[in-house]
Parts: sequence; structure tokens; C-alpha cells
Amino acid sequence: MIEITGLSKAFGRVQAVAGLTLSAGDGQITGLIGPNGAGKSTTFRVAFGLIRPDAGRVAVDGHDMVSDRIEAQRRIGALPDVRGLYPRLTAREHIRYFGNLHGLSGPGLETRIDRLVELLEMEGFADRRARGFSRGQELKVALGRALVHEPANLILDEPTNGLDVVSTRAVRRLLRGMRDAGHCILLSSHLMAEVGVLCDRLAVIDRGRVVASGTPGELRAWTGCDDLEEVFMEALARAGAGGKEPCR
Amino acid sequence: MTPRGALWPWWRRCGVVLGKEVKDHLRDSRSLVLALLYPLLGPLALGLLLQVAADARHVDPGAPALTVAARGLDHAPELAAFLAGHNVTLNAMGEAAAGGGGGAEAGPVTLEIPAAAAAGAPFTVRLLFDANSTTETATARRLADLITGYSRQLGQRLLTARGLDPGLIQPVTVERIHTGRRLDMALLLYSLISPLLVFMIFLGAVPLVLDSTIGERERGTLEPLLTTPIRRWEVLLGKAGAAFLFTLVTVLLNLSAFRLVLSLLAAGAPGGQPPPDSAVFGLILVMALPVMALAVTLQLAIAALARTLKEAQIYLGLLPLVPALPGIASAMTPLVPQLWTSGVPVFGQMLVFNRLIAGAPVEPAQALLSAVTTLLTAVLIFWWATRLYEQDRTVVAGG
Repeated sequence: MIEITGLSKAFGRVQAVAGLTLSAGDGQITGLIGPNGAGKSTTFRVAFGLIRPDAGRVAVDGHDMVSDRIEAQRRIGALPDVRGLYPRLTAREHIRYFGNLHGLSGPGLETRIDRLVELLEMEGFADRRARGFSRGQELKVALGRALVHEPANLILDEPTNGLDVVSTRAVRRLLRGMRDAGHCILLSSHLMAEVGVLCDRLAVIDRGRVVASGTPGELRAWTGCDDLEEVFMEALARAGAGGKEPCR
Repeated sequence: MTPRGALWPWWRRCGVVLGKEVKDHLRDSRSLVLALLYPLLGPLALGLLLQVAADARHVDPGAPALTVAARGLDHAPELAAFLAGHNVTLNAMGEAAAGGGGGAEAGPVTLEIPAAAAAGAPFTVRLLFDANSTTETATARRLADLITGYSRQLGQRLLTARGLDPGLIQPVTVERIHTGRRLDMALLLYSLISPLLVFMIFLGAVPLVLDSTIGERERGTLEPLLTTPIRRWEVLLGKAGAAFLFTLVTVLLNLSAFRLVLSLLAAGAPGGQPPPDSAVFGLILVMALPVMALAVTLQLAIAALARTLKEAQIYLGLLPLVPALPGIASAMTPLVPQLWTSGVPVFGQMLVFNRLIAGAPVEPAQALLSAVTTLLTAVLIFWWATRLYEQDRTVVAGG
């Protein structure tokens, strides 16, 4: 379970996140949606343990991401918005490196790597060095290294961005399977169709705070819009982010 | 849900990072070239300098015949005969021929004998040569020595003919006895080993440090790495360990090449004083370990401070000059290690290296103090670097 409470973070005079509160439960896929610059990436960076918040906290299964960072990080699988790879390492070596960093080794780790290669359809390039990988291939490797330790909680920034239709469906299947197995999944996406078919709960954020949250059905009822894109726009409009004609 | 895998001890996590960096950079041609090729350049350059210096100073009476252009030979046939008897071939030139350097046929050096020589009065001969050419300088020196010998011999003969003591021609003689263990020039060049070595220490792992720090940030691999359960100082220690290994290989190659080149030069010039032996180089290697640690931690800290890869490249490219320049200055001036020099990181150790290379005694306490000072400085800088890696701006580009 991931609990974000009263989170604030500023970079100089720019207030990236302002008192954001959000909870992502186990056995659920929670989607974080918002316009560019709303504070999604900063929220995720704090949730990954990369940067410290100015106020508030992120707790993963009760472990504070600042005061108990290592234990909290053991419990997350992270897919940051930057998917950088080491150009001289193969896809398989990337996943192995991250498995090692999570304390995994030996035949058990190799079996997991083989399974991820198969699940993410990486057979064609698993043993190739990463230089020259396509965006989709890079994303698959990044997903592989985020999942290698079978984390209880997943925080994924745009997990299907750059994938083709077939791979997108494979990733969605994978995430649904993990949700059904009781994992907590928090993801961001700008694809309304994706959050519509994938997410159990949604949180709309704008200017660093949550302006609406609930199940897709609850949000539809609240806004009176059927289309999720309209729901999103309406939520922003009600938060004062911009004008929009009412759906009804 | 319990996390998979037990949390490994810190040293094992550091080992994972170290292993990855070593594997990664063994596949990087830039890192390999710098680690394996650059260390050979300094010794080769020094060997070349020593060879040139030796050639310039060497005057061998039994050397092959000199070929010299000569003008006015008719004015001093006895001198011409003397020189011919001492392996000098004189190619007569016409009075109108240009002097200075001579042609290829005539030889590079020109001897001019004035008409006054024929009158039996004291006369001055001129040697025209290019002082920029070590060959012409050596030829001119050898010719001058021969003519001085002839002059002394002629003077003694004249004095004897007049019933005087031939020794009067040189009432005071000087006998020069070289008390140094080696030629001064060689000693000076040997003392350049220390700054060249330190230069390599601060250069050997630069590609690795750049790539594994700011390169990692720009490439976008630092963020995923730091989302894993590993402390920042453990990540840095792993990277520092890999950089240290590359530096160590560089230094080993560098010192081995110095030893080899100097041994070859010594073998080619028997009778000279031997260069520093393997034991000296081994001792220098051990004493250089704290310098390597300092170099690596300083590189990591500077890379953390830099905003871009290009900026870091400039800083780390200039860094080797900082410790090397005082080292070169100390090679030119006889500075003996003292208590205060031991307190200056790297510099104190360079002075100790110089003493070891010169075969001079080294005070163990001063050597130990300078090593401890450098090591403590490395620890402090490493601590500073870990603080930098806790900052947002170091982790997140533009953060």
C-alpha cells in the first residue's frame, strides 16, 4: 500500500507539489492523471525515494520513504519517466543488475529473468547490448528491471508509452495479473483510454494537489460526463484550471 | 507482502555496483585506451628525452670520422694534418663558398682558418654550426676539443724550443671530478617520473568516473539505480572502487613502463649509474595508493558538482595538472621533505617519491605522515561527495 500525505515540494520558486494526499491500495490499480507540469513526476520522484519532500510523507507498506528509505525501496518496483539504459550492457544484464541490487542471485534470479523475457516478449533482443534499442525495447527492459524482485508495490510513470499495440496489451495483462495477485499499482498515464480500461481508481491532479479522486464510475457520476477525457477536463475546470462547457 | 530476497550487507551491495562498472567499462574502448595506452606515453617520452640528452653530451674520441667543411686549410697545413690524424675528414671549400652549416657533401659544420695562421702568429679559428642541432653541437664540441688539444701541444713545443718549461702554457689546471651518482641531466629527468606518475593517477579513471556519475545522470540511468534499496554512499563506494581498480592498472603499467624504458637505456649505455630498481618502483606503488584514493574521490566530487558532462570533462581534464605542476617545480628545485610538506596532500608524497627515485634516504615518519594526510583528505572528500549525492540537483537533471 502506498500512502502519500500532505506532500509538498518546491524547486526554487516553483511549487511543484502542494499538499498532495493520495492513497493507493493493495489489489488495485490507481491511476494518476493530470496536465503537463501538474506535479506527477515530482510526486513519483519523492515516492521513489530519489528526492526529499519539503513537507508531508510517502509511506510504502508503512515504511517512510525518508526515514526508512531502504525498507520502503525494497517494497517498490519503480519505472521513472527516464528509462535510461547502459549502452554496453545487454537487456538481460540490466535486469540481472537490478535483481542483484535487490539481493537476488543464482538460479532463482535467472529463472525470474527468463520469465520476464518471455512475459515482456524480449526474446529477440534479450542478449543484445542496449545501444540502438528502440523506445519500446528500452521500456520493456526498464519494466523488466522494475519487476525483477516481484515487488509488492509498483510505481510506474507512463508504463505503456512507446509500446506497440501487442506489447501494450501484454503489459496490461501483466499489470492486471499482478493486481489480481494483490499487488498495489500506482501509475500515471496521459492516455485516457488506458486509465479507463486499466485503473480501478483515479486521481486527477493539478498544480501539485489532487482535485478529484474515486473510481471511474464515481468520477463519471460526479462530473456528469461519460467520456473519461471529458471527466478529466471537467475535474480540471471545477478546480479552476480552465474553462469547459458542462457535459449536461 | 514480504520483499523477495534478503537485504545484502553493504559491502556486497557495493560489490554489485563495482562489478557492473568494471564489466561495463571493460567494454568501453575509451576507458581501455586511457587505462592501457596512456600510461606508456610518459615513460616513452622520458626515455626519448634521456636518449637525446645522452647523445647531446656524448663525445667519443673513437667515434667514426667527422666530416667537416673547411676554409683556409692552406693557411694551417699542420693543423689540417693533426685533425686528419684524429679521424676528421676536412672537405676544402673555396673562399667564396658560403659558410655556416655547409652543404650535405661538405658536412654540417664549417671550420674557418684565417690567413693570419700562415704568418705564425696566434690566430683564432671559427666553427660555424647550428646550435639547435644536437648532432652539429656534438660535432663542434668534439672539433673544438681537438683544436684546443692541438693548440696546447703547439704551445708546449714553442716553449720547449725557447728553453722554457712547457707546463707554463697552462700554469693552473683544473681536474673536474663528477661526484654525483648519475649524470645531472638523467637525475633531473628521473625526477620527472613522480609528476608524470601523479598526472597518470589523476587521469587513469577519468572516462569511467565521467560515465558512471554525470554520464549516468545525463543518460537517465541514475534515477532507476537510486530507486533500488542501496544507500548513496554505497553506490559511490562501488563506483569509487571500480575507478580505483582502473587507476591501479594504469599506475602498474606506468611504473612498469618506466622501469623497462630506463633499464633498456641503462643497458644501452654500460658504465653509467643504474636507474631506480624494481624495489623502488614497488615502494612507490604502495605509497601511491592513498594518492589514487584521493584522485578517485576528488574526481567523483567534481563530477557531482558539474552541471553537464562537458563541464565535468573540462574540470577533470584539467585536474591532473593541479598536483603535477608543483611536482614538476619540485623536480627543478631541491626541496627536501619536511614536516610541513608532509602535511600537503599528494605534494608531500611526490617529494618522497623524488627522494626514492634519487636513491636518497627517506624518513619513514615523514613518508607515513604524508600517506596518512593524503588518505584522510580522500576520506573527507568522499564524505563530501556522498553529501553531494544526497542533493536533489545531483540526482535529478535540472532538479
